[in-house]
Amino acid sequence: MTSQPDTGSRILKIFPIILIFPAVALVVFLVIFPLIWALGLSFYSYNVLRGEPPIFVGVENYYRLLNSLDVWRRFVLTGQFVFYSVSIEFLLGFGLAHLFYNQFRGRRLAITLVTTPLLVAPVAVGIFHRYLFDATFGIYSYIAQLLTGQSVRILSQHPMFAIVFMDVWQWSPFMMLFILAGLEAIPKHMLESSEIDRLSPLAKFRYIVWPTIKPLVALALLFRTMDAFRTFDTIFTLTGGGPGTATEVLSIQIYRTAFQFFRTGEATALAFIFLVIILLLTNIYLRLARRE
Amino acid sequence: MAKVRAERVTKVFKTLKALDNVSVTIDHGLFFCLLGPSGSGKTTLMRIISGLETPTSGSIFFDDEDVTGLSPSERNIAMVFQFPSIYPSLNIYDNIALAIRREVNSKQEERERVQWAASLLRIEEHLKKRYHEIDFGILQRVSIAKAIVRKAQVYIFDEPLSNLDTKLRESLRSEFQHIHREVGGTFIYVTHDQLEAMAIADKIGILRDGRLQQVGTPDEIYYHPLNKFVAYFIGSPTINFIDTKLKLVEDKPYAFVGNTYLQLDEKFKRALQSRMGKLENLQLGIRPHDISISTTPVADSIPCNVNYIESLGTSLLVELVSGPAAFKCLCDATLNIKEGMQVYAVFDKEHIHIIDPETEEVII
Repeated sequence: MTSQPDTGSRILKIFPIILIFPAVALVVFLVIFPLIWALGLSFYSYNVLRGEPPIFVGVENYYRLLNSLDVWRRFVLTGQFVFYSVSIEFLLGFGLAHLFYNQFRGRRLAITLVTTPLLVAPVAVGIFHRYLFDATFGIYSYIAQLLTGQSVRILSQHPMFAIVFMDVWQWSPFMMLFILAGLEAIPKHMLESSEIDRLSPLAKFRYIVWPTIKPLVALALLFRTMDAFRTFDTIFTLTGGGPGTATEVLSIQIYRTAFQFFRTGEATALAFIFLVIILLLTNIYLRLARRE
Repeated sequence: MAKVRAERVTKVFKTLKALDNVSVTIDHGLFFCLLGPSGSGKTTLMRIISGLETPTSGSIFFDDEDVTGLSPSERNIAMVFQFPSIYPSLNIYDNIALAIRREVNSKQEERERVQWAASLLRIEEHLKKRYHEIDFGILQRVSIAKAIVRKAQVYIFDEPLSNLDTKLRESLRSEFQHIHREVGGTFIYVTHDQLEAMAIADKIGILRDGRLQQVGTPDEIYYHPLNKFVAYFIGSPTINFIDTKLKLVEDKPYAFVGNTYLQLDEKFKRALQSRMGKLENLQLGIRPHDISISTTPVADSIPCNVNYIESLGTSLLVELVSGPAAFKCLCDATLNIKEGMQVYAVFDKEHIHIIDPETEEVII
C-alpha cells in the first residue's frame, strides 16, 4: 500500500535525470573539465614540446602578462580593431537596413547578394582579401592608386585598415539583418499614427523606430563585439598578425604563444584573461539592454 | 471641423476593386458610421478620406477644398486605429500632449487640453503611467483621447472597439455620443458591428462589395431599407425572407404566405400596380420582432407549427413553419408554447416589405 506509490515517485524523480545525463556528461567532459584543467595549467610553467613535468608558479603567469607592455599593446590593438569594425558595421548595417526596408524591384535578390559574405568561410575571406589587397595586382590597391594618385601597399602601410575593411565586408550584412528585422517589426499602424500625429521624422525615429529596434540593435552589437574580439582566422590568413605585430590581435598572440613559442602555461593564462574581458563586456551590454 | 465629400471614388488593388464609384457627403458635426461586412471597402474608403491611401480615381473634398493629393498631416485629421497607438517610451500625458505640440501656444494651454481630454475619457488617474503599466482597454481610451484632444478637420475611428472584450466595448460605446457632443467635430466611424452603428451614429452609410448601398439615419435604414442586403445586414435577429406572390382580390392586395393569403395594407396596392402584373416570385420581408404569436385563432393570422424554440433569456426566438414557408419570430418568454404545437402568427403589416429577389430591390 505504501511502497507502491513510493517506488513510482522515485522512478519519476530519477527518470528526468537519466534523460539529461548524456547531455550533461558531454558538457562536463568536453567543456567544463578542459576549462578547469586549463585554469589549473595557467598556474604552471609548462612547455608541451619538452614534455617535462609542469612547474607550479602560482600567479606568476598572470603577473607577468598583466605587467607586460607587449600584452597591453595587443589589448589596445584588439580594442581598436573591435571598435572600428563594430561601429562601421553598425552604421553601414543601419543604412542598408533602411534601404532594404523600402520595397523596390529586385529587393529580394539584392538582399541575398548583400548577405552572401556571411556564408563565406573565414579562411577563404582572408585568402581572397590577400589577393584583393595585393600590392601589384590587387584590385583594391589599384583603386587606392586611382584615388590617391600614388601606389599604396595597403597591407604593409595600413594593415589595420585592411583587417577592419575585411571584417566590415563580411559582417555588415549581419548588422543589417538584425536592424531590418527590427524595422519590419514596427507595427504599420504606429507609423501611420505618427503621420497623423504630425511628428517630425526625428520624433518618429525617436518615439517609434528606436524603441522597437533597440533590443535587436543591442543584441547585434553584443554578438558582433564578442565575435570581433575573438576574430582569428580571417586576420591570421590575411596578415598573419603582421607586418611585425601591427595586426597581432589577442587571439593571434595566444595562438603564437601556445603553438609557436610553446609557452603553454602562459598561453592558457592569457586565454583566461581574454575570457574575463569578454564576460565583462557581455555583462555591460546585457545590463544596458535590460535597463529599459 | 469640415464637411467631408467623397466624389466618385474608385480604388483598385491590383485586380481587386475595393471601391466602385462611391459618392457620399458627410455634413459637418455629424457622427457618421461606415458600416459593412469585412471586405466591403469601408476601411478603404476611410483610409482614402484620411489620406493614408490614394484613390485610383475620384476626389475627396473637405468643405470645398480638394484634398485628394494631400497627406494625412496636411489634411489635419485625427484618427484612432484598431490597436492602441501609444508611444511606449513616453508616459500617457506626453503621449496625448505630443499630438497637440503643433497646435498649442503655451504649456498652460497644453495642460488644460490634455486634462480636458483625459477627463472626458476618464483616464486622469493614468496620466503619469507608462504603456506597460495599463491594460488594453485603458490604452484604447488613451488612443481616443489622443485623437479628440486635437482640433482636427475630421476625427476618424477605425473599428476602435473591435479588439476589446464585450463589457469594455459596451461601456465605451455608450460614452461615444457624449464624447462626440463635447468635441463637436465631424466623426467618421468604421465598424462591421451593426449594433454599434445603430447605437451611436447620426447617419450610417452601408457598403457592400465596394458599393454604397444606402445612407440614412439608423431609423431610416432599419425601417426603410432600400435593398435586400441592407434589410438583411441590419437588425438582430436577422429579418425573415419568405417566398410569396401577390394578388388583387376585389381591389384589395393579398400576399400568399405559407398556405394562407394575408391581406395587406392599401399602400401596397399602388406599389403592386407599378409592378405591371409581375406579382409572382417575390419575397416578403419581416423582422422577427414584428411577428406575434397567438395560441388561439385570430383574424388575419397564419396558422403554423412551432418547429423549434431558442431561449434568449427574457424572450424566445421561435421558428414557425407554415407549408413551405419557415420564419422566425421573437416573442415573450412567458408565452406558453411547445415545439410541435399549432399556433397563429400575426404579422405587423406596417413593417412588411416586399422584395424582388432578382434585383434585390425593396419594392415597398
